[in-house]
Amino acid sequence: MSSAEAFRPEEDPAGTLDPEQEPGSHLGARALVAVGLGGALGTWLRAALTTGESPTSLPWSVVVVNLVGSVLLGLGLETVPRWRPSWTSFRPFFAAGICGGLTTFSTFTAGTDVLVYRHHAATAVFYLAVSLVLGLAGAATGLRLGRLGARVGR
Amino acid sequence: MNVSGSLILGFVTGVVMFRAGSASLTAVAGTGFCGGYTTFSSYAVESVRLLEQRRYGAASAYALGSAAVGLAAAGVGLVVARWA
Repeated sequence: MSSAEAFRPEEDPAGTLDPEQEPGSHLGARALVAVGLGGALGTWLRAALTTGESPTSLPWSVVVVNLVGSVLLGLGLETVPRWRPSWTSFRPFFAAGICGGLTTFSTFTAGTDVLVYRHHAATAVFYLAVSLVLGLAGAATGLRLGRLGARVGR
Repeated sequence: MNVSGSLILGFVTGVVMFRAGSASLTAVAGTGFCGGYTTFSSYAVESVRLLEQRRYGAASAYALGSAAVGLAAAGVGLVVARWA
């Protein structure tokens, strides 16, 4: 049984919960280090790519990191836990850490508001739409590709 | 968490825009803290999973609701930085 089936869908819609972990337990030391390390890497990469965007034009670099991170998360969640079920630090390192650090929700919302404030409402609406459409499409693509890969890899 | 991060980043952005906050404030509190602790990837994957389970109401509520509340929170942060 793959670990992906251990939770009912309504308990774990994103498939990011770890069935090995006791509910209500605290983050263990290893997972904490994993999140910190992955998060730092993801955040540094995002900072390097997104610094210098103008607040009055659509920040494409933020769209790109959010898209790439969403694809990677979908891909990773459907493949690595099946291939390496014993790698228990994977979810904290990769999902919460790398993808969590690489992508950002706050920059996206604050950036949209600033565009509106600076009288670029059309750009704000477009930024919002592009971010949501590409992000959701990216996640769906990553998940699909991951499942395909998991089947083909047998 | 995405909502509180949006609120804080709205505030930090406002401080930098309206009250001459420093670049390192942006780096540490903005890009680092808020950018790091909020996540778009989990939000996107969760939305898609809900759609895949045909929970269209929940998916819409989550996807659109999170975006709307996040935008509002960031707006509140900006307003507080400007007017408080």
